[in-house]
Amino acid sequence: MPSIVEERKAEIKEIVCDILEIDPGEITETSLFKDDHGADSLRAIEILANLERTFGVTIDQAELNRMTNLQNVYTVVEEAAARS
Amino acid sequence: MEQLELVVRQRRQIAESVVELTLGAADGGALPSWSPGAHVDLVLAEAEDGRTPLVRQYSLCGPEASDRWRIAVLLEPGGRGGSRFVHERLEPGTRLRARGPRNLFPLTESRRAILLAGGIGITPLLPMARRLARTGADWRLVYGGRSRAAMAYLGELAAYGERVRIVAQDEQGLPDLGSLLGRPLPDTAVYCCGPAGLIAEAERLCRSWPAGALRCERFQPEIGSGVPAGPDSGFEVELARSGRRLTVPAGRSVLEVLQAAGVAVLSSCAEGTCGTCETRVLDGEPEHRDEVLGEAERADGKTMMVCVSRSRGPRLVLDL
Repeated sequence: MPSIVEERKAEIKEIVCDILEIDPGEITETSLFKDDHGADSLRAIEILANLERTFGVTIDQAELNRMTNLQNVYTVVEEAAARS
Repeated sequence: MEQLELVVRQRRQIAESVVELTLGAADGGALPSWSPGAHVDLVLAEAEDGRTPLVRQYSLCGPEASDRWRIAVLLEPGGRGGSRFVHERLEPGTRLRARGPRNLFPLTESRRAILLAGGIGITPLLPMARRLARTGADWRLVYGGRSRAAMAYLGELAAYGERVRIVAQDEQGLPDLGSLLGRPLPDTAVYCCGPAGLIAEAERLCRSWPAGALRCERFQPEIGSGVPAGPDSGFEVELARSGRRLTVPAGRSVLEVLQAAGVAVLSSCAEGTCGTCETRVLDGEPEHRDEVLGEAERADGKTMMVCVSRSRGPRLVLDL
């Protein structure tokens, strides 16, 4: 099923890589921001804030717990976009 | 606070218009310990020819060593003369008096810490970063400046890798604070030191944060805030050590009256922001108009800043 997120995956990945300061080649859909890429909780906040700003969505702060890898971020953005 | 005799041990140009001074005790002994965020009052020039001494506050930015302190001073041509004096007159071997250290900008324990530095505002935040790097806290330093060449301590900060974001205005414009501060975070302290514009932006973004989450250290006295409107009234000040009594009329500060009477009180900003003229109150109730004391200290009423604060009652007894 094509979704808004499907079209924006590349953009989300770019934002995440930008904030984690890693090459797009280093990240996979399931590599963990914290354990694999050394992200701390502030890095996660920045990802969330940038996604909100870029896609004009509102993401509940509680979603931070789910936003552990790219795949989960795609889902969170998709759900947020569906609500708005 | 302790009075110290210091000597300039080393002087280094560390960025455009920024000199770093390494200070040691004049007798070669140990210096008092301090914590990140602390500053010292330096008596740059002693009182002479009826002029009051030139006293300025500088954040301690060095490693927490016992034999030397480090300060960094930006030359401000439009300033009130302190920075020019430092740049032109302080050389290795120069002796000067100091008072402190005192910490009005302490690092408190929190799970996360966000440090925001603008220009020479990096000085109190540098030791905070050093301390945070040794704890398990998540922390970030966003350091904005005019250009890389004008920003002090970039080399030292490189050691902290991705935790530090350097934003040079001539390359990237102003730092984006919105992604870090856009929403209140639990158990997170924000420390900001820099020019008025940066502090105003941090205050705007932190409006929805819990009270006290944002702590700012200002370079310049903030005019007006904290000073209640309304007419002053006169009162009497008794000096406990000499028994002298002085009248403080409406429109004159306690400090002015003390200085006119030849009572030695160190002061610097004369606007209630620096803490240099803090004086112990033995009796009476001060009406606090400064920005130095916290709520608890105000309520306690044991000390006051004599440059701006007044008396609620007809009489104050000071430990002078």
